[in-house]
Amino acid sequence: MIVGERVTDVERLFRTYNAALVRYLTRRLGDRDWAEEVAQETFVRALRQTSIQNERAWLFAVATNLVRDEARKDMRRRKHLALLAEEERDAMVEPEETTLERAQEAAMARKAVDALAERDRLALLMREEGLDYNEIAEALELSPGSVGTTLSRARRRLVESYEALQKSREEREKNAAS
Amino acid sequence: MQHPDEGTIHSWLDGALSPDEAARVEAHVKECAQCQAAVAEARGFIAASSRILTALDNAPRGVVPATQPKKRDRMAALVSGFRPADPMVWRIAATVLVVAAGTLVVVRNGETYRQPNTTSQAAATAPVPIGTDESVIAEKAALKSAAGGNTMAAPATPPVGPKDENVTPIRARGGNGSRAPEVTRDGALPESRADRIEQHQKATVLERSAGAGQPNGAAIAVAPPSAPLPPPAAPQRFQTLEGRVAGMAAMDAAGEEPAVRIVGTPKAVGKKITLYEVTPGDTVQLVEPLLVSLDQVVVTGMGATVQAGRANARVGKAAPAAKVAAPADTNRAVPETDVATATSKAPATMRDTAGVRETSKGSSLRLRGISWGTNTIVWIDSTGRAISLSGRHTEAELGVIRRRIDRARMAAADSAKKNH
Repeated sequence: MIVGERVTDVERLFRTYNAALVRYLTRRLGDRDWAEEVAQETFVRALRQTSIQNERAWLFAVATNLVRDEARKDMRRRKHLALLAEEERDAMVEPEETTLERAQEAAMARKAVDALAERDRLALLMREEGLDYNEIAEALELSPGSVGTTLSRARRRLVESYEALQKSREEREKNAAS
Repeated sequence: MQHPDEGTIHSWLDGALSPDEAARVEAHVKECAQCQAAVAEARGFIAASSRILTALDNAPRGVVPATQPKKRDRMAALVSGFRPADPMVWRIAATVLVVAAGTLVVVRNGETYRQPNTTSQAAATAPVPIGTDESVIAEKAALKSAAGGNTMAAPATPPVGPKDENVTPIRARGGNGSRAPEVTRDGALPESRADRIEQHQKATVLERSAGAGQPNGAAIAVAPPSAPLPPPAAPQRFQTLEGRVAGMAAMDAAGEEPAVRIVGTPKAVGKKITLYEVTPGDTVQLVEPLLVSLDQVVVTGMGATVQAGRANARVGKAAPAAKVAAPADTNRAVPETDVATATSKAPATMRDTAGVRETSKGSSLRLRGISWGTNTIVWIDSTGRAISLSGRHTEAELGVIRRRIDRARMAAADSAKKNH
């Protein structure tokens, strides 16, 4: 029963990769709900495949493309923003444990990540989820030889822009204090 | 050798070079102070960027409101067919069905599918009561006894007299097993793909159930074979619009039922964490402060008895109209107070929000998978420990799951006692 096997397989894929995929997408999109939607859609796509060569690379590539497609759809974005606004108005429970400090760190991290070139950012986020160089190359359609260069550039830039943000924040705080 | 470039150094540190290349780089770096500095710097970048990316995970999830009412409403509307759906939502719904529904389709359709190859499962639903605390899921249970109870009875022996009659409305509509039953098709899943997926899923479930049937069957066989009749009115309810929603709820309940399984006990200091699988791919986390407590010890290593307990719990839920019997009763031996039903992004940030939500009437209509965030409920048990249960469920569902876990544990402790 091919059909059954395929579904079982998707179930296995889901169990194996969902957490990493959602984390990757959350980091990429900055929105957990959205990330989960895209991840689910990715697994639905997997359902339609008869066979997948390298599962992880395939899943990350499809998820990445979905994000790209979605981003193109202005409608989707607007809808999303509308939803955000709507939800903002609803009673919102901020996790109290999220200190100001951590929130600021997160905001800076977000900024620094967003400042990266798309390809660098994706390669880095995939690497963080444990994809090896070949998988990253496959998912992003890079040559395996260029992954090291891409990653080294991404890491350097990420760290440098984060540190720059940190520095300017410290200066602002100093100015505010004096 | 030339100085390796930065990309090569990163590749080396990431273990992505071939053994030959790696050896060459290593040999060079050993002797080149300049490259040692570069390697140190690269290590720094790797560590720092990891740390920065981790900070992203700490981001407040500002976009997620406490209870995500919008999504749930949207989905409820979709399920009842009031609003045309965004195709994406259907795809998600389909996935949720595939991933979370697990064995539920067996429960609902197993009979049509399994009749050709009659399997060894013992056939009986048992007259076991549900405690008063079951009122929340009473509706689910009633529906389930119509759908689930019949199915349990169906596989082995040919259905007997009146029971068979009760089955008829569903089966007639479900056709000869080659199609999805009208319950879900009846406009509720307009997109044909969702339909296909459901069929795929059935096929899988069928396979799986062949293997999984045994332990349940064994446990069920213990129960008296005289099954109570499901309320005759129940099958007809599926035909109404309202019934469709309720049907989904029943599906939900049925899908949850067979599987409070312990899938992991991650080590933690000062507390005991147990991961329960509610449906395949769907786990909840139970956190208890660590106290020396006998029943806790008993429960932990008790795979087999937990299973038996699970079956007990299942039978108990499936037969709402039946007379009092032991296992479910023990459930009430431990009085517990709900102190808070908290919604939080992380277990550490529990907050008293809306009181005891799990008793709200609408709970039976909520579908799992629609609450995308992680919720946590907290309660104080009889020994004064604050126990929390978190999972990607609504608080109401967590409440139900909590009872199932309780019951499974009780039953496990119970049968452990009997064994001694």
